[in-house]
This record gives sequence, structure tokens and C-alpha cells, in this order.
Amino acid sequence: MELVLISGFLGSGKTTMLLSTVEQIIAMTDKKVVIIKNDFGNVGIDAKVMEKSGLQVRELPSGCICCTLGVDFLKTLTTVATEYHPDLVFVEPSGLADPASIIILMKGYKGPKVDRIRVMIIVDAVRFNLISRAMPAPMERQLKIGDVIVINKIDEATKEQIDEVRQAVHKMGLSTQLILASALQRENVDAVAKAMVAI
Amino acid sequence: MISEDFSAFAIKAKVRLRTKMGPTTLTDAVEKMMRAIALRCVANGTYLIGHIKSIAEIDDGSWMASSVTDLDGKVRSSGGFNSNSDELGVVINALQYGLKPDRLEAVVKEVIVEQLSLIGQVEIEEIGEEHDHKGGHDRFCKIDIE
Repeated sequence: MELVLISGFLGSGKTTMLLSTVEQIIAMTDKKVVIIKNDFGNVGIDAKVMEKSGLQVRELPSGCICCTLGVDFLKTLTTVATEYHPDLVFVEPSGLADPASIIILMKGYKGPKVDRIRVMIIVDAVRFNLISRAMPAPMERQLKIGDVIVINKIDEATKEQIDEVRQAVHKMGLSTQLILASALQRENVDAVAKAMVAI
Repeated sequence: MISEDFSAFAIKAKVRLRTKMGPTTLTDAVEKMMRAIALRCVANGTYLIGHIKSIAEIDDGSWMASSVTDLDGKVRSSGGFNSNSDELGVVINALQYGLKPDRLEAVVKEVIVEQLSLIGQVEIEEIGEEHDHKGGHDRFCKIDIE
């Protein structure tokens, strides 16, 4: 079983990207895929969208990857791994979660073997500057932990906005693979799908 | 958790429409409401929108999900309505930085009632407290299985 963490700030397009790629990933790899999604709030709008998009959704009435991480997330992952025997588990934490804390948490995982954990960071190209100014340290931490960074919403972003993300990654001294895409317009989602299974 | 200084609020609204309305009218009404929520929040002090999301559904089960993340109120939608309807259900979830919880709640409620009253009779139902992230038990985890 492999685990792929799909992380990024609120509104970066994580769920849309997963919805745009999951069918393709299943068709491409013939792998059994499970998504563990952590919605913020009492209303799981994203999960409702996923359900209406044809995915089976099982809802857990409590627990949060951010706040009750140690207990609920590991229990959930163990249950999923034991009951469904997936080949690939996508974990989409809420846009408020620090992905580094989830990686650290996984050291305490005792369930069926996880062969590999990889991190894909989704960045909103349009709001990158705004979010980076509002919370520079979390944004930097997110970028640094990514095995691949998807610069999303390129259909709306200007060239300057896209370059800004590239430059920020470069300034941090990272050589992380960058993929330009638009989840909503399904632009370059093939490359994202391939990266999700082969990071 | 990357920050704790945000406020969030969620609410359900049910609208008994004055007359049967078509998909385009319904789409416009929902998107106009979403834009108005965002712009009213920004006018009142929101400096960063985490998300303002909604899912709207009509009698035949067709639905539209909408989201606003930009300060200019740009609405992005997916899905869509398939037929005319005389009823509309919407769930809205707003998470932002800048407005205090009570103010956010007041602004969101005010805009929803204002906007949806234009098309029908509105009933609203709050969906619990979602004011900050510190409590840690006010949200769901989901397992989505393909």
C-alpha cells in the first residue's frame, strides 16, 4: 500500500484535482484506490460533491486530521487498510493542516504495511502572493515538504503569478518537480495523475 | 494546523421559490449570493478567504457546487441543475481571516436572507458552532472509496 498526501492551503483546488484525476489513475494503474478526506467544519461540502460525483463516501462523525490526529487518522487509516486492502490511499487533509505533522504522525502507524509515503502540494497560482504574505512560514513549510508541487489554476493566473510561484520555489533552493495545471478546466491533469502514482 | 486566527460559519437554507425557475435562473441566483457573501465579508474586514463554499440542490437531485476564494468575489462552479424547480436547498460554509466569528455569522446570514428572498421564501438552519479550530471536535472526517 502506498500513501499520497494531497496538501495545500484552503481553496487551492485539492478536491477538484482529486476528482479530476482519480478515475484516470484507476484506469491507468488498475489499482484499488481509497481517498481519506478531512473536511473542515460541520458541513462536509467537498464530501457531498465527491458522493454526488459517484464516489462512495463513508462519513465519520468526529475526528480531524489536524486536531485529533493521533487517534482518529491512524485508526481510520488502519481500518481502511484492513477492510479494503487498497493499493493506493490518497489523504487529503483540510487546507489548514500542516502536512509535516501528518508525516511525523505516520511514524506511529501500526497497521498494514505502508510501502511509500509521498506528498503532493497544490498551490493556488492566483492567490499565492496573498497567502504567502498572510502566512509566509506555513506556505514555505508546505512547499519544502512536497515531492511534487502542482501550480493550479493556470487558466486564470497571469504569467507573472505563475512565475512568482516558480521563483519562490527556486529561492528556497528546492529542485522539486513543478507541474502547471488547471483542475477545474482539466488542463494538464494527465501529468498530475501520472505524478500522483509515480512521484 | 497552520493557523488559528480564522473564523468559520456554516448554514443551510431552504427556499420555496415564488414560481418554478429554470436552471439558468437558479444558477445565477446561487452564484450571485456567493459573490455577495464574499464581497460583503471583504467590505467588513475579511483580508483572506479560506473558502466560501456551497452546494445547492433541487427537487430532481441535480446539484451545483460553488466556491469563492478570491477577494474580488469570483465564483467557480461545477455540476449544474437539470430541470425547472420550485424549491432550492443550499448549504454554505464560510471560512475566512479578518472577521470575528459573530460578525462573520451576521454577515453571512444577512446576505443569504437578502439574496435568496429575491427568489422566494427562505428558511435558514444553522449547522452548529464553527467559530474556530481550537475545539477540534466540530468537524468530520470522511472516507471516500472508489
